[in-house]
Amino acid sequence: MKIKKEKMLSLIDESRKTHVVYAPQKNGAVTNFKKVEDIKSIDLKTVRTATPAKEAVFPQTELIYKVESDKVHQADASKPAILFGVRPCDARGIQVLDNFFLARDRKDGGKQPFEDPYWKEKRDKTLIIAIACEKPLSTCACSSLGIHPASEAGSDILLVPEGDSYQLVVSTEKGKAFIEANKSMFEDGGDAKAAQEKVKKACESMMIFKLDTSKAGQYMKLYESPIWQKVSQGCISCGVCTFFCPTCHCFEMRDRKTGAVSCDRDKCWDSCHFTVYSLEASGHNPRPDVAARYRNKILDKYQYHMTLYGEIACTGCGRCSDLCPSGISLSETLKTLGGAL
Amino acid sequence: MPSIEDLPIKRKIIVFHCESALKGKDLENHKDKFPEVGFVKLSCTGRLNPVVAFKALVEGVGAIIIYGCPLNDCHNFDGNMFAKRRVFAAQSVAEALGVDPERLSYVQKDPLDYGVLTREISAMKRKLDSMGVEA
Amino acid sequence: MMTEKTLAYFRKIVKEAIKSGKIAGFLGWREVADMPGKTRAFVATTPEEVDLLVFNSFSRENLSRLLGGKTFYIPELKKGQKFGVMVKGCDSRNLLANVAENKVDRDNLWVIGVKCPGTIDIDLVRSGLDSDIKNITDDGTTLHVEMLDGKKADLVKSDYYDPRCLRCPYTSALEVDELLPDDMPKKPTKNWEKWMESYLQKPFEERRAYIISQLSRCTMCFACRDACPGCYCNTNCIMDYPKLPEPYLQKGTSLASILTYHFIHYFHLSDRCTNCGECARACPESIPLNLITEQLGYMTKTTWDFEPGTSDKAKTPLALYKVEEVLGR
Repeated sequence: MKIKKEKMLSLIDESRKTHVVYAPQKNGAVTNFKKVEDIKSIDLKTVRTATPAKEAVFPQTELIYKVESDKVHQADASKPAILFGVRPCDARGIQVLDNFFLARDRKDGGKQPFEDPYWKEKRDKTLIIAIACEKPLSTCACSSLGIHPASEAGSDILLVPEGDSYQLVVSTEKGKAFIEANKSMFEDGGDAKAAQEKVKKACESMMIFKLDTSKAGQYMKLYESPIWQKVSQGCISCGVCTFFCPTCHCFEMRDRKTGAVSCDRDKCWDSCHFTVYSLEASGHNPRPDVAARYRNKILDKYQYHMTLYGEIACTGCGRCSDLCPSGISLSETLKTLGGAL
Repeated sequence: MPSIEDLPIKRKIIVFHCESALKGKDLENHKDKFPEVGFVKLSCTGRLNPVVAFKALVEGVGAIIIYGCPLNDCHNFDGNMFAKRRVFAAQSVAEALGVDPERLSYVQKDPLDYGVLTREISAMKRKLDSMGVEA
Repeated sequence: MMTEKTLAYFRKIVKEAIKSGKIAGFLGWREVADMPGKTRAFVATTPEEVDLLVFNSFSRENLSRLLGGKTFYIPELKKGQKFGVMVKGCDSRNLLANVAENKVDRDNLWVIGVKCPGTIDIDLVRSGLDSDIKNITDDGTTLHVEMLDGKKADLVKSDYYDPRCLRCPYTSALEVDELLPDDMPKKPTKNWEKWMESYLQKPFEERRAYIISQLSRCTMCFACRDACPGCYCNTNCIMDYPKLPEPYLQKGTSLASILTYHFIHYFHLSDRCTNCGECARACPESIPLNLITEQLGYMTKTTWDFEPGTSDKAKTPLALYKVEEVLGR
């Protein structure tokens, strides 16, 4: 099944009547996922957006409820949304975040005890339309993490560019329903699997950034080792790697007084890299130094997530290495750690 | 595209004054003359943290006037001199960030000119009018 | 960038210093194996590790930020031993500024300075290419780029300098213990004060519309704060403690919060910022923060005739006043 490229864009434009559409748009020197006001501003040429797509389902700041003396007003329900133009790494990131936010059975035999209702509500109302990558960036490494540039993991519909059309790979009932509702825009023909293979091979052949994931799950042996000081040398605890990671999910809840008898509760992103992340009320900080915080992040993604959910909490998007102001590269870190095991 | 219109401004003016420059009958007269202006007392203008003023400006206050002792006569020796430089630096940072620096001003009390604060408040009101600020 | 001769000389003196026990370690830059056009901070503690130290047009990290109190692993110094560090012009100013504020003890440091011919903005190079970079080398006048799709390109180096480097008046490092010889092609230079004057002549409405549209992208990640050598409050920063009874400062991303945070950051730096540009380089959303820092530098120079970081003893303008000001002249 396929659809002409211009028809896809006009279908998205039509959908703005019933859905809120988020798509990559240029804003100055970067491209970000923003609400679409004008279909012509969608930018599908830029390979990787600065902020990952998780922001549409897990916003930076989100109001939970307002309290007015003895009345509680929950935040308004979110509207149905479409995420258009998501790359496979970001779509996979949202899939990995489901492990954490939804109450499902876990690999270690337990069950995730609490389901985040704010995540679930948005997730159920969001349709993810991913688009395959025809060329990589210097730090792209999705193929090291079990997906590839034309992977349908995490998306409802995947668009694979082929000439002047997109071939479609539909993975979920939600995706099927969307196509059924707009049957007239789509046409039969072409081999989606073959198109996927072709785009995957062409893109993978250009990748140079390699992440060694073969030792994932074994890094606990290095817990007391001084090697963490070596790999985190130069880290300034800014938190950019975690804010821009498609699978990072730490957040903070705050109560803010807004009047004599009223307050707001909201949640916002937090980062395990911040110096005060684990600061306790007594003044003790179990992770006072950069090496301890960096170790926590690597173990969280390449050790603890595996034990609990059986997956590595990384999609190989490369943002952490590309955006780090100190030039710390995840590829180098994993290589050094692997060498020490 | 976000713009300065996302930070609406009200016609409110606030005067941060030190307790030595404006006190007693003088303060009452000013309050009677300008009932809609807020007067905040500080121990010395040197105590003012310009972050407080800036935060007020972006959250809707129209203009802020800082009123201190005469140049060579600070009640606390030299607090007003530091305040003067500090307000100037704050105006430059505000301008670099897109907030109109003329909404923040520093006025020195003048023992030979009792009307200096009144004139500044009236000038700020005219400025807010010319900027088209409603209630 | 350095010639082979200067690089060899530099590595020789550092190796000798380590072998003789004069320094416990040397902080410099080394290349990152799989990320072209980037370097990272590295402490060499053995003569073998010194061979990894480089200096080239991609060495942009301001190493003095790592000495100002952030938890950075400096090896234990024995009695009389020092710690070595390498600085460019802009970095040396931050080092002096931190020494003047008693944050860094200059007597513990052995400082080697380089005459920096300017650094390349790798994002500028990438934005002009069809495919991302696989490998990039610099011979002084030309950048030889090999791209991921196999194509090659030769770019004129002077088109890709960071625009601020072209305006920098401090090409040589200040007050260092050893200054390496200068033997690389010079970069073109522009006068930063003239540039700032012409920028300030643009109407305020135009400048304001631009900076606000750019600042609205801010995600409050605080990379600019952590990358800044002058921001050394570390665990005591007010932005980390919005848990006052009525939280005064919000970490949210409303425009008011964003402007308040940037005001606090740049106000605390208004007379101490050396315009090293690390904040603009660290920003993951590529917000042009250099427009703010350069304006502050211009304000400090024209009003108080002071350039931060040029002396390790001078007090900054906001900590002083002149007698003429008191008397109203």
